[in-house]
Amino acid sequence: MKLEERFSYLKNQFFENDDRACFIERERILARLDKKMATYYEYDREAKIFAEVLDGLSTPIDDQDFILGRMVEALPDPGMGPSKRIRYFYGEEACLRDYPKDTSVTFPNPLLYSFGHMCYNWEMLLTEGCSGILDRIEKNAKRKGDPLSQLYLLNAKMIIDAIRRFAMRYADAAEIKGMSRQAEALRRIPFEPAYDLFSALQSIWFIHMLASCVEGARDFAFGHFDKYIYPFYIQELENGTSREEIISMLRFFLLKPNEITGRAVYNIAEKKPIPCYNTKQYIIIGGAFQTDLSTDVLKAFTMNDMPEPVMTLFYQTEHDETFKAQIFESMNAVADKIQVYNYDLVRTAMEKRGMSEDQIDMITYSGCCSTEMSFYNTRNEYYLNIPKVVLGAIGVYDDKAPEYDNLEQILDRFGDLCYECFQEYINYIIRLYGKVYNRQRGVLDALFIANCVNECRYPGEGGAYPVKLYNFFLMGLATGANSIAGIDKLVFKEKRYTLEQLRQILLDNYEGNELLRLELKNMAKFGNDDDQADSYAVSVANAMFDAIDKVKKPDQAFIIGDIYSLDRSAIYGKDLEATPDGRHAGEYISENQSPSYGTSLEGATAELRSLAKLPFVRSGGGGYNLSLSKRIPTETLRALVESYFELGGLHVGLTYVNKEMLQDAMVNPEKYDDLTVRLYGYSEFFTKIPRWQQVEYLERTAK
Amino acid sequence: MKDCVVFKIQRYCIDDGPGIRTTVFLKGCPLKCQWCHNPEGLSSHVQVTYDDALCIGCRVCESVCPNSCHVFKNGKHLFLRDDCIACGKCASVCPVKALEMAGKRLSVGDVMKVVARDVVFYRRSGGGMTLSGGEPLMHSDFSFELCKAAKEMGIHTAVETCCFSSMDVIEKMIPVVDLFLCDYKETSTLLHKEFTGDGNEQILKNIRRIDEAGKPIVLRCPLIPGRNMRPEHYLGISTLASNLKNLVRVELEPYHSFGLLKREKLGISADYSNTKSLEVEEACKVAEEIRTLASNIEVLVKR
Repeated sequence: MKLEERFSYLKNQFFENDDRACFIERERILARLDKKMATYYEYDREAKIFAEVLDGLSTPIDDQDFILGRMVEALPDPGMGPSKRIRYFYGEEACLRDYPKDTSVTFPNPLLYSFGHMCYNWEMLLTEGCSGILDRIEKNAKRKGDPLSQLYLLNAKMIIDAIRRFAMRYADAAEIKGMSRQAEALRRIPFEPAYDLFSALQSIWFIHMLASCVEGARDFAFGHFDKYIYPFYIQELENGTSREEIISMLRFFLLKPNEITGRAVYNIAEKKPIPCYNTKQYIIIGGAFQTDLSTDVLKAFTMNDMPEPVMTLFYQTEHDETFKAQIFESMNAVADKIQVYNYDLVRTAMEKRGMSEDQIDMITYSGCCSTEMSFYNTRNEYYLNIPKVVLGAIGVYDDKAPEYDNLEQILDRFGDLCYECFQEYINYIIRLYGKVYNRQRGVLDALFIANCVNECRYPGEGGAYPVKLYNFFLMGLATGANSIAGIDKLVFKEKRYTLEQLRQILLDNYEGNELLRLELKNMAKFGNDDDQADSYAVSVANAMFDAIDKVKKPDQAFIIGDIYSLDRSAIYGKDLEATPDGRHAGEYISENQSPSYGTSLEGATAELRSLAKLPFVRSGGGGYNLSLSKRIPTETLRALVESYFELGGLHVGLTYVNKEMLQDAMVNPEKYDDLTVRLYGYSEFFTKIPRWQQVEYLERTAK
Repeated sequence: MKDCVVFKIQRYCIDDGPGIRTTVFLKGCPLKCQWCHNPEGLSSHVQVTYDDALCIGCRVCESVCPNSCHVFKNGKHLFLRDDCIACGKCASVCPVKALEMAGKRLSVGDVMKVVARDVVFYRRSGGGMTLSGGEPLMHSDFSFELCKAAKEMGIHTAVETCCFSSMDVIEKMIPVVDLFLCDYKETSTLLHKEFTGDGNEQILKNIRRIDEAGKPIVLRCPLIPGRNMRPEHYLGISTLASNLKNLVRVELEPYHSFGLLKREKLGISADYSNTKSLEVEEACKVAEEIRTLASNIEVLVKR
């Protein structure tokens, strides 16, 4: 097959997956081990399970594979059914339709799992290999000499041996197929350090696949890819490999993450994601490490045009012109599959929060997968429903409305309530440290966190990086800000209603007050470059950031307030009372940093100018989805984004869709197999997301 | 400087000249094109639009109208326009925007305040301000002042014009306009008169004068089924285009029927009631035909 044919052949495989399938080999082995392992001593239990699974796996290779390592999916065996968790998310009805009723064994089997949500130290793997890592562990365990270190060492040996055996078996299989390059690589890596670009990519993929599919968790990230791959890239160029050949190699590598499907993992989402609905494999390029490699990675990613890995670009004004031009060419070509951060602003924001250079590199920006951090030990997420706190400030959840003389007092109260929520959450998490999350070990994960290796400890036992990170997701900013605007108008400026009357109207969901609701609905709203309307959003945001600054937190802890709603704008809106922006009870709250649905009326430049007024420099996180119904030239897109960043904007994810197309896709999904949209922080196949999310996306999309 | 009635200031326009632009639509036009897609630009007065589909029958408009123009009979809202003085009271209270104002008196300063907001976007995209309408040259003093103010702020200026004006106006505008988007609707002067109410002699003179002055010109040609979609007109377009030294390109604008709905909302009848928009593919065929006639000119179909 010619090169292009190989790519499209491999790509097409992802679309031929079966929604009901699972990583059958893993499940069969775990089902067999289930009883046997119950008596294992706890500390080596997971390592033994991991090793047994690995030893039992086959080594499938497709003739067109370049990077080796894949898992075999198949329908579950008779008697094997979805776990409680899948039943919950997938839906009972769908489970009854797709799987047998009576099942004795469930999948995915929780016998072996990690929580994922992290980024391995790939540089350590590539430069030291598993053998080097093991050497370090041995030295450190000897130095420490305590029983926990010895157990950590014991497990590490067991795991690394198993990985080596598995890689050797793969090498044999490759040999039989006549793939000598791959065979040679797999005889050496990941045990030894990588020795060229191919072996580096093969080594990363091998470990990444084991983490995602065998250990069984979602959201393992690739981190600053163009930084740790760079030495191999340079070596390759020096050896005379052309950039085109390198781009092809990168393309093969970047296609692989799309193979990781959801059913094999512990943390499952609603519908079988084909491909990769629920595993977000972030990859970062640009920022402080921008080189020609960054441009080549971006080119390879763009040629693939697939949603995984999740591409995060750090844009800096001083980047070279070729890379900047490629950013916008790629963004315009693959739209929702790329997100761009204003890295100058990100850095400033992080520095303001007191982070060191290393911490900035570590923490920014792999979604929920922070480098060198195991999610639940060192990183926590809190969701603040802004409109709900606004309602709280005007007494909707009390017997009557408090007395205020002016709007500032309401904003003060709002800030106080935010502070109470934040502090309560931090206190709660502190109480949990050393209890719940200690159980979470991740025997494989622990080998690729430098701090775990140095300390000979699992993440939950003190191995995780000592920094603690709290992401406070501030949801529904536009709804909250427009609500404050509504209160200001009716109660203070026009004095037409008392706060108590307004409170009652909201509790009654505007019943009998439809004209008032429409009046509020038609007020000037955040997102139209109306300075007055936007000022409410700025005040609300500042009140939250002030509250964050006041929170008492442990040493070595950082709080990042992200104006971000993930997938929650529908869920959190559903249980929310009516709000004083004309929103009925139960309707969506605004999504991410965007204006409320249907209220952006002045076009993209006005919307971007409104957003740029927000104090992002106090945040540094969160996302904004720019939805355009009409394709624009690359230069225009570049001008939009660069102007936005110049004005103080933080982040842009772009989607090209219009209502008509989405409606058609909902009726004729078979025609839209590869239609992707930027749903919250990443790209999704539109026809594979649940109906309620499709409807929500439709709502927020312009004609 | 007197104020002018502006019916829309549209930001983030990417089809009215280069880059990202703000287009200012001035109200009033000397021509009466049968197919006009911006009928709210025909009259130079402020008007009230009414969208029957949006009305919820709340009757708030009825209670505020000084001339009793809003009448509700058998649950139906009748808007008696003859007595309407466009005071705007009804539109200001309509909760669902079924009633809206088409046009607002604005000063040059008012307009420039909005235009200036997107300066950073113009700079990065090579964009600027475009005057449109209606016919901006019908308000030549106001248009001149707007363009002058824009130039002083370093903003690129374009004027979208039917070029139906006196030569004096053209002479006045030339120094302050960077790009002329000139309509060319029909080659036969007789048919031009039939379709638009006037002949095209003066228009052609003006276009040539702009060209002589060295200003870049985009020739914008609407394609109207059953009206100007004839080989003779295509030949006319290609001949004119070939003779212009400063032609940037020819832009073909396929007919769309949005104007009909707007006419309904304005309560004015339609002379050309074709509800079927022209398919882009049809326009592309015409573009090909023109390219064959004049291979050296760029022809673009607007979508």
